[in-house]
Amino acid sequence: MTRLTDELLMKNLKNGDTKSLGVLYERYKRILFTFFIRTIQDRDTSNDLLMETFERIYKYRNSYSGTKKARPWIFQIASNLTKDYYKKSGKLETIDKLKQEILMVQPELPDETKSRNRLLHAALYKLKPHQRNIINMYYLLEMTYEDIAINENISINNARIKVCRALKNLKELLKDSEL
Amino acid sequence: MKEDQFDKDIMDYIDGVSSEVTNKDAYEQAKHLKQIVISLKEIPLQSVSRIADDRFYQFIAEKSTNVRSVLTLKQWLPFVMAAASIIILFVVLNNYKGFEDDYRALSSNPEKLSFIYNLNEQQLRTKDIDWLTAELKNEISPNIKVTIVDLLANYQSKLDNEFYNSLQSESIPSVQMALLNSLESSENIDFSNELLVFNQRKDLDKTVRQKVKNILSNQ
Repeated sequence: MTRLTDELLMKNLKNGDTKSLGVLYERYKRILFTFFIRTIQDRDTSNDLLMETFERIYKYRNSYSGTKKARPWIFQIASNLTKDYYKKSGKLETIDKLKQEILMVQPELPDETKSRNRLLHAALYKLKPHQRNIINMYYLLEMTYEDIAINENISINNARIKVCRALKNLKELLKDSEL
Repeated sequence: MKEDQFDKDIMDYIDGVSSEVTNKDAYEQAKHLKQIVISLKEIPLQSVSRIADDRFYQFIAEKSTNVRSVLTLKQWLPFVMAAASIIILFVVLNNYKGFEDDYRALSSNPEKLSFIYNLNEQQLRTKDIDWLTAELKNEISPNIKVTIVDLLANYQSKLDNEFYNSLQSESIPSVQMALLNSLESSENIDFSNELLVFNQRKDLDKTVRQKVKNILSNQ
């Protein structure tokens, strides 16, 4: 079986084949949902944003340039949605431990790994939204510095520095842990 | 500026572009940050809920019905030709298991919808088409039925009669619309007389009745 590329699926979608959107959804739903959970910290909102991402992909399918990669285009839509969310909500909620447990489902992992992941999540949540966003863009969505630079309207070098500064802050937040 | 250069060196080290950092302090920091990055990458992805899946497939089923009504015959031609090629392959290859068993193992509608969507990436064989055609008659969920019709439309040249038969026994308007859309783009058989009879049914939804009229007036 040949796996259709994202770009071909987008082309098919533009030509009216809505099934292609279903294939893209299956391909990206988990990573996008995780991105929203880690950035927004709310499961219901993350579900809404996941849905909105694909509604926007459908709505703006004709503005997608066939010469560019579809993956960063999709991720830019998702990243912009998180920014819009913060603009609308205006403030960053703090998150208690119980909510953290609910947010981060970790089936069948050793206790030590679960504990380490919880520490990381807690530290991530304490970062400023734009820093959390940039870390998730780079290390979860695996966007390149170039894609981040375009998305954030900054230089590539600046994108690299911003990732580094966010990591340093994360390290600072983890200083009392064993990580 | 110096700090920017340190940061760049640190990121080059973490990204694997270089294997060392000249400044000793920066090197120690880079090693620690790299460990954090490794841990970050090991955090598992989260699963999407069935409710979210259901919501998405509801959305796409609505869009699918809308889009299909404006598709032209020209746009369907590649699908019809692809289906014909698949059917020829079928005759040659007999020892084939098909997708039915995997589908039967699924319990929820979102899982089933997702499975059927993914079949668009597969080359279905006669066994699968027969199973899906039977499934179309037995399935209760309108969303799944519409999705099956969309999938089978890719193999339409063999299925016009099946679609027509399904239409006769179908009572859900959204599924009737999907079947009518498929029949509308058929160039193999003229169903005008049958559609005239179908349109006499008293239980037809207003939209469905109008759709039949439109098809008949375009022929």
